[in-house]
Amino acid sequence: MGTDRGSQPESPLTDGAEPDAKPLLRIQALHTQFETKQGTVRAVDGLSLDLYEGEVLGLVGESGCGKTMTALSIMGLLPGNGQAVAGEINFEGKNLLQCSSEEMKKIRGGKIAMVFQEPMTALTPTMTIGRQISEAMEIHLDLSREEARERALELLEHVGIPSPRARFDNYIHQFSGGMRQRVMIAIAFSCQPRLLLADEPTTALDVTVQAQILDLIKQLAQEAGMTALFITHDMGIVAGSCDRVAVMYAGRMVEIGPVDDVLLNPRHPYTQGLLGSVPSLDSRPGDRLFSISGLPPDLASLPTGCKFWPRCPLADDRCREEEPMLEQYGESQAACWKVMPLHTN
Amino acid sequence: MFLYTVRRLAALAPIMVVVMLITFTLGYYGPIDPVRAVLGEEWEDEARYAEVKKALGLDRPFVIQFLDYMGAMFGGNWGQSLSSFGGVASDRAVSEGRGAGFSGTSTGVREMVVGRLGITAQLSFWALVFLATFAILLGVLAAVKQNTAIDYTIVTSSIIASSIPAYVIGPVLLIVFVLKIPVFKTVGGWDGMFSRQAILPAIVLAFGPMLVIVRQTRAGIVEVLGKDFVRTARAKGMPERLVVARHMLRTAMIPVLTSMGLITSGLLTGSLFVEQIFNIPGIGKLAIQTLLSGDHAVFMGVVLFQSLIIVTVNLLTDLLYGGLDPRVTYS
Repeated sequence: MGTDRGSQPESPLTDGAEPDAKPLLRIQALHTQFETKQGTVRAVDGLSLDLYEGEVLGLVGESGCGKTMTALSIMGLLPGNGQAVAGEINFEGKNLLQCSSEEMKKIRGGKIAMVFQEPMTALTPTMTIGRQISEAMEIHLDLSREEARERALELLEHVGIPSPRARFDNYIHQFSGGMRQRVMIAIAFSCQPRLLLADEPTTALDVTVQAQILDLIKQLAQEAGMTALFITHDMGIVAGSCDRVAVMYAGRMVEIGPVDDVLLNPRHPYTQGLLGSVPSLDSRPGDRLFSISGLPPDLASLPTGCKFWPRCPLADDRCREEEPMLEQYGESQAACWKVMPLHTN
Repeated sequence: MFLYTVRRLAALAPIMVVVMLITFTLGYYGPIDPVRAVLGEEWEDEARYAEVKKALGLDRPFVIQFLDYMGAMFGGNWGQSLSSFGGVASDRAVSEGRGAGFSGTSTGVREMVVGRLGITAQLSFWALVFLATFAILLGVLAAVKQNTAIDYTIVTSSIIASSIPAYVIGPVLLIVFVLKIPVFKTVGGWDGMFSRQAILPAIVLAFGPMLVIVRQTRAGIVEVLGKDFVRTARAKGMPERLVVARHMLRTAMIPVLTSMGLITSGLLTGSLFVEQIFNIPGIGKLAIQTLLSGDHAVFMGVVLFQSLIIVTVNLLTDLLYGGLDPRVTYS
């Protein structure tokens, strides 16, 4: 939508992630669960993921597949009774799941920043936008109130808010959706974090504004050499902005690889389904868009075997009984028993 | 906002006229006969009765009397207390007549009411300070520690504190802190707002409305706890203390402000029980005294002034909403 899927990912944030490099963030066998009356909801179920310094990774999947819960597990901000019950999230030599709340406060906003989906509700209505940007800098960068204000004014200018001095003391109800998201971005970048988690940053915005906001995030991240995790369900964003893409289904990873490879040669039937549901330049008016039949599984009672089999056109007995693990196919990995031989290179 | 304030102030006049009409009508048709009150034992003398009644202007038609009263009130002359007529009340009433209030004698109704209100206001101030700090703090604590022993303890003790009527808790506190453990020397009375005597009555005054403030603060904070903007504030790494103070409190305080406005009106119109129990010469005690003694003009002045307080506090509350919530505009 924001960027045309037909165009090649010509300018990913940094040129070529280095898979040999040490990962900045390493998630290992993360299990995030919610206890509910219906039973244990496995929002993230054994996810492992490496994020390399300077790369932009797209995390895609349907609503409720655990993308946002993965990001909130990293931040230690799981809602309600959600808890990361097993696994590790290693960042700068620390397992974030074991960090004290004091340590996490230093990391949140300071080292890892998050841009949220809902610019309408994600900013405090009773506080000036200037203060919302500057207050975190007073904490993390140890700036005085005056210095933080000056930096906030620069940031406002940088994210494209006209006349920042006049806008500093405004409240969010005086801003449009796109402007609010710019403020949100200014907050996220204010303390120069090493990792940016962007949770569907453009989903709630007008189509015309989406591209602008996306370009802004890309530009700022590139300037700062920042590593980013882009949570989205928009394959166009993945194609235009990411280096690698990870596809999630029912709380686990089903496919991961370089964007070109995954988009051109999707191995997993779920990825193929996701890509098939994007209109292409070749489709004619009146053509029906492909859609994956059925609904995502109930996370409180998952099927045995491959979690995708109830919706998979290729499923057989093995799929129903044995759960496939991620296997290497060319540059990418996929968890499926049915990967076509032509994909195995 | 300036225009809004001016308009609201202008609207006070018709409201006050209506209140005056009601109090005056009640006074006019009510059981208290001011002439009889002035005359005391002499009232059976019919000639004397008619003389005093004429001197006081009470023989004129209702409408004329009301207009006269209203004009005098707006002119700042709220009339004269019966007590100011002294031992020979009826003589002075005859000689000074209706204009008595103008002569600036020390017991004009206005001076009386305003003086008494000053004392009630000082006492109310402490009760409000107690509510605005202690009760709000408890509410915030209960919300942050939601569904824990701390929460239950705070809510339960607030329920208890607010359920015991002032006429029970007042004497109990007097017995405990004056007689048993003599923290305070005197039983009551008034010696300025910074004296020790102000402490106990202020606490008793605050106890009643405490539950409302604790519960509303708690509910307000609980409501914003799960909001996206609170998550954003935490995602910035803000200490929890600042998340509450900067991001939650103002939003949560909007319903509390409404209650604080009503409570302020209630406190400023004087507590009959508390002022009576602690022997504080406030406006509540004045209301009882004048009601019992049939001091008609003073009682009407008190009622009128209390209405004025209520409408003024309402206006102030409405103006304060804008201070709390930037989305509120006045037009």
